[in-house]
Amino acid sequence: MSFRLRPFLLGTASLVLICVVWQVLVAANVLDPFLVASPSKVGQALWNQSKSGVLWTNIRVTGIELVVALAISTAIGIPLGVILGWYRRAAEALDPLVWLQYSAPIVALYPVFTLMFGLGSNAVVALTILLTVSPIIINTARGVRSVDRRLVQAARSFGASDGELFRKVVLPGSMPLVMAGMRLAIGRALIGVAVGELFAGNAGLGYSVSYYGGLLRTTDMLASVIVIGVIGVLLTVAAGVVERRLDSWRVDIS
Amino acid sequence: MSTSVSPIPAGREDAPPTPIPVAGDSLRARTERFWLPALAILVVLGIWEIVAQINGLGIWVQYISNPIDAAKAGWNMATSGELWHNTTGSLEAFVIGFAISAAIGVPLGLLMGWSRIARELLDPPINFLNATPRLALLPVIVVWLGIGLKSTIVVVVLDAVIPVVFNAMAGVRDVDVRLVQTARSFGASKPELFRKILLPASTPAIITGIRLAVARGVLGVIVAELYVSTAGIGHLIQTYGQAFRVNQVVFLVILVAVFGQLLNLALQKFERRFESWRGV
Repeated sequence: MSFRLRPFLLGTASLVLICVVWQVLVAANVLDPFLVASPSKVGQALWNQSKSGVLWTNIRVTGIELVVALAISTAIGIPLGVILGWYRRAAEALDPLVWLQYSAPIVALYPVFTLMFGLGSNAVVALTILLTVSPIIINTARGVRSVDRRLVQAARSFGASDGELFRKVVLPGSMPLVMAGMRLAIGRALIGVAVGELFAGNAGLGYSVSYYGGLLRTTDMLASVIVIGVIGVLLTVAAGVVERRLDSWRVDIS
Repeated sequence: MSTSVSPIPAGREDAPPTPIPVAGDSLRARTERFWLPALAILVVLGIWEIVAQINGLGIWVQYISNPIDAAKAGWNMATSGELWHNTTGSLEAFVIGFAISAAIGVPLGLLMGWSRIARELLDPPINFLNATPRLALLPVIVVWLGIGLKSTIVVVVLDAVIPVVFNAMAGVRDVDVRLVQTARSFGASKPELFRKILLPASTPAIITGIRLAVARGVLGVIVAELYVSTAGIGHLIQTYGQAFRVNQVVFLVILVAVFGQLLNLALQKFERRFESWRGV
């Protein structure tokens, strides 16, 4: 077990400390409870939301959007990335466009997407795909490019066909960078889903932040924010675990 | 020629990967590197224009604007002064927010790199913040701070401070141990060690963090203004978006993308100067 107790304890302590300070400041009337609620109130709100089922509906909507968007952008991004990594000319031609797309404020296109798809999950998914596809493309291309040329030459010498070369050398060799791209994409997908829902959603966690904010129900709003945060942490941890799993066969030779 | 795996970008999260490395430096390769992208951009614009002209493709076509109309819309906004007025508003929010992020992020990151207790205490909250899509905090910030410059600045800071902190911390932690030991052996005091070894050695990492922060800051300003504001490019996009005037929206989005990318490239040049100075 490589579980380290000390960082874990200190980390928990600091999160608990933040909650205690928050609660005390509210109880002492330093902070306005109308604006910042308090940990106990947020806990209460979460409990109520979960009992009434609102919480689970929101999580389900957001979760489905996240999964669908990630699946589609992976299906588009990895083949495109492989092409860009494999053909130098394709990379040179399309590189600036991919980067431009990467730095574009995609969320600002939400009026266009609501025109196309209407308010709701479809528009959110479309926004999220545009946000997540570029890190996948860029990292897959870099991964393919990073494959050891000697391995490719050796496989060729032993008569590997293009398909075999791809399946047995290029794909495993580019895995670490592909996974790094996926990790970035997961982070951006959560941003895309949450922010997309702020603007173009009609349900889900991001939408409920905006909805409760509009009603000035700060406690419920903060409860939704915290759920989004927790999902973010869980996704980050899960992505890290998967990344290590998929890459565990690699032996470092220096 | 190096074909090894280039390192995953410094800092732990959402560091945009460095450009796809392209081999070859002959004259032909270099001219190709110029005209291939130019050609690709022209081809994309051409396809876009043609698709927009064919009305038989279905109802979506009328929503995607077309290059010529978008350019015309841009020209009109530029000549009416509308563009300039709103750009200054956005730039103000960006510059202030960015300066605050650097002013908070660099010392905090250095502290977390330097002291283990600070790192272990601050790591979980910062990681939590990092894993949360901070732009989703927009409604919260608007409720707390009201509509206007202040909210926009806070959104920028929340988004931009994180890469600065992570990279400053990584910079300090990655300092060559032998340098530190040598300095200690020669009797360097703690402040001297910090000023003469740790700070210079971590400067390249800090600059990387600042470059990453710029990209996030630009996005933060636009999205914050988009959500609610009274001026700025995001506000302009929102106004035209609400009226479904797609030409203007598309022009402004491309404008912001080009601005962000140019800034990023400029900072990458700057960054490389420091890398070479460090002599990696």
